[in-house]
Amino acid sequence: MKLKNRILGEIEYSENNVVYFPRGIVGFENVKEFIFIDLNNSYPFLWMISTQRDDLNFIVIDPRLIYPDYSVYIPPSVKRELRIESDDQIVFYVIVTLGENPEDMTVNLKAPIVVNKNYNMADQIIVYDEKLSIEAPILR
Amino acid sequence: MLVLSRKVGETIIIDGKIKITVSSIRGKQVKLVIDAPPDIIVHREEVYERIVEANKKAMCASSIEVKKAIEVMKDNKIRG
Repeated sequence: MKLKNRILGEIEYSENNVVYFPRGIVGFENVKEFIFIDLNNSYPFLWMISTQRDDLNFIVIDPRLIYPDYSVYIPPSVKRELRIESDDQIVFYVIVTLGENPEDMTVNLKAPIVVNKNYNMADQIIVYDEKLSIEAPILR
Repeated sequence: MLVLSRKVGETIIIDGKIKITVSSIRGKQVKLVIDAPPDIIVHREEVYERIVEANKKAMCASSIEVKKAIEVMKDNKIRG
């Protein structure tokens, strides 16, 4: 399958890259589908690109690569919506803000993306924990 | 927009399923009890707006920016 992105151009992907967001993401509630893909060896980052809007792409990362103890409470309603039956189905990603200077890049720990990897379903949740920053530094 | 007056202990019902009760008023602070089905997501507006802003700031990453970021990560030995 192929999609066109305004910044990244044409991207080829397969069905198992596709993740469905029943509620969209915060501020983009109508955007229900993204692909998660490694483009040109982007590890440890992953691209999260909308299949519906050609101007919507993000960089995400596994928060535990930066904050090994990172863990958040997932409300039962979210678990139900994403059909999460056991915790080993859960994968977390956090959105990266790159900014002008790469040294200053941050991650949003307050609104992680919770993925059920078994069903490729996800939701961006907002965690009410004062300790979690929206702009947590990646490099410390 | 609908404007309603409620006393402490009184409730409004939205769409027959979301109940919002004024629990207490202390000075300028009002405590609300929200009783809604689990599929209804409730947020404090200012927090929600901050996440919207953060998402907007993070969108539209370019390949060049990411390449630089990967280099910085390598230099700092964050490779998982």
